[in-house]
Amino acid sequence: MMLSHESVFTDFTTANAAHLDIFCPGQSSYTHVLDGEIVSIGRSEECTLEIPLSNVSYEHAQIARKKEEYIIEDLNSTNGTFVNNVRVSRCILHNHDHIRIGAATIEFIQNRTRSKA
Amino acid sequence: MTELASSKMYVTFWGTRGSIPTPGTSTEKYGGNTPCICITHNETVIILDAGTGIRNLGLEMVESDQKPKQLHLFLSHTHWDHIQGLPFFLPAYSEGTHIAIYGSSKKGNFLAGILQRQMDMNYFPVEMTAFKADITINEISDRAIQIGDVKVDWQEQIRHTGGSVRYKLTVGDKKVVYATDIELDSIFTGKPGKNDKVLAKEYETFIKDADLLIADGQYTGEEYPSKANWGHSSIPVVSEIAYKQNIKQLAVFHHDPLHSDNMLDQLSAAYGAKYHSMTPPMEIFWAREGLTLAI
Repeated sequence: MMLSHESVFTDFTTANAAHLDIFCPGQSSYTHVLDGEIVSIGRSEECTLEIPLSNVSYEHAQIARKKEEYIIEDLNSTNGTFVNNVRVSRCILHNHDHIRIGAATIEFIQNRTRSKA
Repeated sequence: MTELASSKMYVTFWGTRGSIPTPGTSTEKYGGNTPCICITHNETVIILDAGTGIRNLGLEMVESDQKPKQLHLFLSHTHWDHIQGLPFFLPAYSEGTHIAIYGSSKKGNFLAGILQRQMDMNYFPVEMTAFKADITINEISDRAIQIGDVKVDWQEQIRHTGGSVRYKLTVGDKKVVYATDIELDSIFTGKPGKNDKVLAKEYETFIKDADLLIADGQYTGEEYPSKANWGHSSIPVVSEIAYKQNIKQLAVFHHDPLHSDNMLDQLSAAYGAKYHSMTPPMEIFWAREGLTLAI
């Protein structure tokens, strides 16, 4: 018996959940859920993720979502933004990438699933 | 500091895979598109190779608010994996864009003819005449080409079937070298012939002190013996040469289609730890799609 095309092909959605696990000296580790808004990272109190360390620039980096991808961009910081120990200007993030900003480390976690609505 | 010295080259990897595109879940981190790198310096846009990665570069360019109008495409050679993205490069179909294509003249066939034949209707539904951009195809002859503030030096590489070309981009005291599709093991290991010594010296001189060397490292040391004479280098050989020539960053490139993300991660861990612990250290990493470095 042939399955109905509607049951096989319709009502699928792709969920693209992602979050950051932040480990900053002097702070308890915490999680920030990425909801599609731009996440700014730096020493400034205005930043989404405030990292109060002397080797972090006021506006150090940002993470933005573009289509299905999360992209980290260094904002001309003094000491650089590193992904898996490589100093980057910009980088598409993948699951379990380790970001280093000053003495803080941030792990990017992504769970992309395609499922029935 | 002068304006020239303070401005940076931005190097973006759009395709890093060798030989054939390898889409799939096991290659999504490092990427499955074949070679394409874009290097920008102020208004200057230089593209290295037109593998399948150039398609996504073209998409980003046409979506950009500031569409670049003057592009320079340098081909290392014309094997499929280095040119097959060109028919899908949207800026080539855009009136008002100028694309200068550069490649070796030592092909026995004119470069223009090779690129046109790729778009013969037996292979592709659209012929090259459909390109609306102003395209010039240049067989390089001068030793160096100046594009804006970027000086492009080049050298022929004969240890790859059909030959290939390596390029060096220099701005002020910053140097980026692109040297893919070369079998360094056949030059640097075993009993060297007289010609090998000349080739080795040329290679070493060309790459010396580069801030970034993007180099063919398709095979592990264990894999290489069964791949000898296939025209590609092993990772232990290319990394040792790079270290001896004072390379600051080595981007291992032209990943083997059989190498999964997990395998490349393991290689990154092993080689990264080795060269980070040396004095002086050298940064080594595996090039991945979507990565931009500021040099």
